[in-house]
Amino acid sequence: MRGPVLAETRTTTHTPQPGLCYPDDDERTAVVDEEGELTETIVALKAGRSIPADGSFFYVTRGDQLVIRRKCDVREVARLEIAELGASTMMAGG
Amino acid sequence: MTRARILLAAWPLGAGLAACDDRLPEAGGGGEPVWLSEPEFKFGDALAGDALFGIVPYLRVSVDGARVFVVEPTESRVSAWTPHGRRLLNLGRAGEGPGDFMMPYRLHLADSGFYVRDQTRFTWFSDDGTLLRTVPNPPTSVGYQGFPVAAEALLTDGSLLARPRIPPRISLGLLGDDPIRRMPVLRFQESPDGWSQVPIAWRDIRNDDFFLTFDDDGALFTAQPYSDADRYRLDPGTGTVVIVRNAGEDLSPGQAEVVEVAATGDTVWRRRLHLGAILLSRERVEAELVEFVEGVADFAEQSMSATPGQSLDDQIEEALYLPDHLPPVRDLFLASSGQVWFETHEIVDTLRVWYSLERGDSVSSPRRLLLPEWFRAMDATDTHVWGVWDDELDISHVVGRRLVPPV
Repeated sequence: MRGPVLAETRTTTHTPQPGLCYPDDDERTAVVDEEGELTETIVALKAGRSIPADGSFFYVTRGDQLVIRRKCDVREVARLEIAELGASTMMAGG
Repeated sequence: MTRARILLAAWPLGAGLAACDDRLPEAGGGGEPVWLSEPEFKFGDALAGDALFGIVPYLRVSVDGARVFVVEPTESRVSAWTPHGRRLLNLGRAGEGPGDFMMPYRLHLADSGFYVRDQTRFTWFSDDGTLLRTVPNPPTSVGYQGFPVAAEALLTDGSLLARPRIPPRISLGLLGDDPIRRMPVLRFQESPDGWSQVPIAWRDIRNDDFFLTFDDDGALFTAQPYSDADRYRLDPGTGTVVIVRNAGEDLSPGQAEVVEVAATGDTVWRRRLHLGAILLSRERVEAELVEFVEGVADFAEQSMSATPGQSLDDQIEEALYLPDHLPPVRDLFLASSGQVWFETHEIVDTLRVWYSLERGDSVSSPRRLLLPEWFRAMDATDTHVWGVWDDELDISHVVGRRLVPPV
């Protein structure tokens, strides 16, 4: 019988991997660059623009707020009130 | 005692009562005409031809049934065959050069020519296998909420239909954020101003993921065996997405709704189906989930440290989604014949119950078919259903079965 065995389904594991957040040799430069990128991300979201998929951040919702997280360690870096955002930012089906 | 039996020791009383008769009186399938199938074509054992396949997760058949296209990701190969197993085309090798493939996994037959989808691009070929052109993936900056997307279909106007690729830890809300309950089918289009995106349809993804978390911050994710999340397939030819809704407050047990949405976002077909309400019985879960539970337990015991104070069996039981009734549609495919085929969870003896329906049809009853359980059906013409049989060595054989109407 073709049952729902694991071999036919996707199985992944996730464990945070410290160090991936700062691949640069000069960690301070990376921090500065990331702060600039976060500012750009917030500006884009408030303007209703999409953010790049190859950047450092993603966003999800939590109630009436939008939570921006870093991809490398999923740490929360900012929160925005959804009501203050551009209309096209919130396509999420949460 | 198997793990599945241990798991179900505390099965809810209501579900246990259903074990004697797991079909409701109004269930579908009673007395309606049933189509069967009989073997006619099979190739892949290299004895009667030069067909010897690895793993075949996908195949397509031309509308006239004269050509069977076989996609082998691990071999980086796409081939075309007559129904009798004579090779017509043999395309690709692993690589990034013209005509090479990187794990091809989909193929679309157009009115003239076809394209192969691999990890990096769409490659168009003429009917005789001549390489015509390639269309690369969108740039990596194109995404959804900061996540990458998987472009799954290339439409005739050059736009792409794609799905977001969001890790289950995020979509399930395990970080404390809202779980993502609906996922869009996105249409991406390039213009001189850059790439634009618009959601053309939404699908409910609740109850789709099985997960276990462990105290070392590890986690295991796989698919729920009885998920009633929406199922969907894309049709690059018509530029539409077909979504099957398995659950909702407006749907009664055994009822599904099929919705076909155009790339414009307009609904072009909507149809309710009554495929029969079947209670999910204790015996069924015990019989079907033995391998699943064993697999999860083995993986977890080898890879993770269990959460103190809770046995692994308890964790698995808690993590399983076991609805009162089986979801009506387990899977579907869009056939070259213009029909949509629905695989169900229903088993009759050793045969799996399928239904098929002409797309756009708002009147006819769906056709009920019984196919062997070992047969992985993937496409169908008006006369045959095509798919794969995996032998005991996990070698795939391409199988064409003649459809036999009710007597």
